[in-house]
Amino acid sequence: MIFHPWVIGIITGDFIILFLVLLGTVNAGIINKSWDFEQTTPLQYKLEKKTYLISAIMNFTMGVQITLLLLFVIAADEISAVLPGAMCATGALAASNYGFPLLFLKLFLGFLSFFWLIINYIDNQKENYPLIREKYQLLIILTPLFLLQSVLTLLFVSDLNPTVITSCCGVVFDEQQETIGGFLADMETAISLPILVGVYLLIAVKNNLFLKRSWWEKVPFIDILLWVSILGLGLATIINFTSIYIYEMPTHRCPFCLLQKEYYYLGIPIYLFLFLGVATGISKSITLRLEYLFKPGDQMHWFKRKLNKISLISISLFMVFVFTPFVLYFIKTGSRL
Amino acid sequence: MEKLKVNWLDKKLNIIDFAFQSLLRHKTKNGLIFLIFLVIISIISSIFFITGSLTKELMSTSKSLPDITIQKIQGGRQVVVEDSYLSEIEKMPGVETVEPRLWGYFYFSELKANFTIYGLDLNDLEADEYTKINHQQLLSPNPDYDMIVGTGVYRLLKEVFMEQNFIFNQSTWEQEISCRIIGTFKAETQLQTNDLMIMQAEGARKVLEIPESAYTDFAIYIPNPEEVQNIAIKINRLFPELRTITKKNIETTYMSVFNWRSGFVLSGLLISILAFLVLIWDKASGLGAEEKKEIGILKAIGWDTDMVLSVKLYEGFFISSFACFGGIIFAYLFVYIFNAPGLKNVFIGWSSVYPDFDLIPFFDFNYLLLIFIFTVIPYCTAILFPAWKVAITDPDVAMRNIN
Amino acid sequence: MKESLIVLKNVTKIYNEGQINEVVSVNNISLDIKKNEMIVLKGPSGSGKTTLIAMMGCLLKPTSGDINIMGKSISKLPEKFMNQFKLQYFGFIFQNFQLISELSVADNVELPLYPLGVKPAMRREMSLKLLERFNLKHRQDFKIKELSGGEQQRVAIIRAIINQPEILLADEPTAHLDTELSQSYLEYMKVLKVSGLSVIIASHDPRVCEFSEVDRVIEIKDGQLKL
Repeated sequence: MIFHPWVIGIITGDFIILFLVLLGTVNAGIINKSWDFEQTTPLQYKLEKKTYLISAIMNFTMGVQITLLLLFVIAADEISAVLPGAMCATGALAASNYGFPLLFLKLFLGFLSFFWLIINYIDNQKENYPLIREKYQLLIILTPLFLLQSVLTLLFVSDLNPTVITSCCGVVFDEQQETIGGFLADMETAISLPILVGVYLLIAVKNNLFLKRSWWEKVPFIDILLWVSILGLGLATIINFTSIYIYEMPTHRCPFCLLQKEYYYLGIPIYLFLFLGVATGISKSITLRLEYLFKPGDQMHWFKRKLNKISLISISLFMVFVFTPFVLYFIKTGSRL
Repeated sequence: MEKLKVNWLDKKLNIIDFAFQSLLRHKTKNGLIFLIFLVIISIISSIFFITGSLTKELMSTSKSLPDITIQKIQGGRQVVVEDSYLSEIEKMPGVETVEPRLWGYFYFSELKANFTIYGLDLNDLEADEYTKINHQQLLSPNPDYDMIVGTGVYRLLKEVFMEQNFIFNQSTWEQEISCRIIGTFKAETQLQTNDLMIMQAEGARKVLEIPESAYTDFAIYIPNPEEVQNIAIKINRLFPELRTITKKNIETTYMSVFNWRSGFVLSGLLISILAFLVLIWDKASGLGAEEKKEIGILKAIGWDTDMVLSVKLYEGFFISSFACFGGIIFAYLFVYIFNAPGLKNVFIGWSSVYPDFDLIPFFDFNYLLLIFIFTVIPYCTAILFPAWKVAITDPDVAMRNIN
Repeated sequence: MKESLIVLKNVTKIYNEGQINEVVSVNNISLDIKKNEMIVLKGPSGSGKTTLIAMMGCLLKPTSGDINIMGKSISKLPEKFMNQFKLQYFGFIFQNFQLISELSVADNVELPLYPLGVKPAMRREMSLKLLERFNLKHRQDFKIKELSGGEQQRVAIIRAIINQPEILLADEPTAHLDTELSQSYLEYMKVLKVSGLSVIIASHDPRVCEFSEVDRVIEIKDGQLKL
């Protein structure tokens, strides 16, 4: 099993990322140990030069992490062809206890790298790099997670066995099952959909009218909470609502099949807009919290507004994509599934 | 004093522009790297193309495979199956037809070729399924020993002047068996028929030494794919001496073999890529005086470290990407126009019975991404650190560089 | 009373500090250079004038002391911000011109415009305008190695002023030039000063020091001001 080209692909990618992150962390540690902005010694200049290396590494790493996330899903799909019982990526992921956790970890790390880069960018706009110690400490804290990613990948891959039967998406997302998959599939859309729309409206209204910190932002992290909620609700809705109207089958609830050619690669814009929206939305919140570093009218305000715009447009497009298959189906058949 | 307002996108485009020009300026140095990388990528891509084609071929072949194949096992080896099992299996719900099959291999030592013999009633064949061969004698000496062969076989037999009559002989036999070749056929996939000889059933039994009322195996056809697994399990329970092989088993096994083989070659290649990249890292770290001077000048006139680093990274990205695309195109031509001599045999074995074997063209965008992961991304990773080392050249290097 | 342009306060530069080969290149120099002045930093080789002019031009950071340009302290600025400054206000002409020999005249001259995000068409327009002004338009596609000394000199000047700087710094500009070229060079400097630039030249060439347009000659010896 281990010699499958796609397996080699995901292992290679993970180790490249690990290598890069370790290189970055080592240098971050060196910088944090001796950084003193006031100094004009050769050491300080050397450290300043290292900051460019770390920025470049993390930018590149994030790009690779996102590519790898896509690669992982495609790999799971390709590997499913040699696993009995598997008909798409779900089957491959379900074949190991580490499959789905690994997927979520990859997604999580993708988001974290993005946020780190936002913080890095903000810090670099200020001449005295006010957040330098904190951001490199953050990087050092993130490193074990990347290590975990590589470890989980190896464990996942070694679990894959072409002689052991695994479940396909019809089983994993079967509402009768008492698993997380079953729970997601079983969620009552009459409840979850209004909540989703509610959270979306809350975000849209809040971010359009209240760019400044207003009274309800004094509630700690409420904006981030809203974005995380819409991420969770969005994923659940894709599984238990949107997918069945794309496949036009009430029992087919796979979150991966819609990435395939036969469904016009619809999954790609759906996931893209959801993730982009959430990532930029949370980034905007981060920027808001770091606003104290900047004078009014500074370039950062333009940046914040830009993030806000991207996040709202993305999440709105996501909402459109979530409901359109249902609308089209309804128009076509006059009924619901 | 207002801050400079620089358009981020325009600056990025300028960087890309300069990187591209810079590549073209240092044609010899970059050309060599490009070529080596191109060759490596061609080999990787060829592997994927071949595997993909074989898999595609397998999938189209397997459509006509029986849902379950029944063999009899004795002492761990396959033996002939008695026709007494037929009625029991036919009765099972879900089973549409059970087809007893008569076939086997014959090794022809003169040509070092292994032929596949298949026995059936030749009269059942439609006239247009095969091309008749004209013989001097109109009547066949013994119709039981007539046979029809694949075009590949026919070509081979011509070399030993046996294209009219083929003589089967084994050292254990008392008498040789002479079979008349009454026709040839050409099927859609050459993989299937290139070594095939279809004989009249009686003749096949004699050649393959299979007694009456026994068969090589049974082919079972089950219309509902969901029931295949259950029926296989049932048969196993009823007749433990019978081995059931499902269609999915065969597909998976072949695919595993293809994947295993391609993975194996790929691993070997990855090691060579790694070696190549270590070389690149080393090379990129040691800058020529000319290049160092150039960077010093750029830094002195206002290019910052980030920008120089970006330029170097884009240079690397372009070289590797172009090598990637070039390699893929080259591989495509190698595999589908020239038929991948040498490399193909790693997957399908070396057998003189497969002379002109054409691969079905296969292309999937997913593989583009995979090749990317093995080539462009490692390359850019390897040049990142050296590029940074170059980019941090101090501007005053330009001032002190007096030639 | 002219406005202060560059103010140096107790600026020191030490190379290889703490090591055996420690060199104090600039030792506790304080200067005040006004706008639209033409200044010559005079001193023999090794006097520290090149180091001093590099620090003024944001090419080098001092070991200690403060450098203030148009009211902004730049000595501790990270490279990124210093570069933004450099691109906006400075033009530098190096000894031996330091042009990239494989690039054409036009390409060399446009290099400072890349980090400013100037589009290719605009870059070409700006470079051709200046090339014409300095009588080099017909040589725009020639490689640097194909040009004469005098032509290279002009290319170096154009590259230094294409980003419309306010301050022009030149390091030993006449070191390898004959009298005629030296004179024409100084004439260019005069034109630029008249058009509003401040010009600072590091040189020990008497022709430069005695040029009519020079407002002040500051003598430097062994890294210190000679008063």
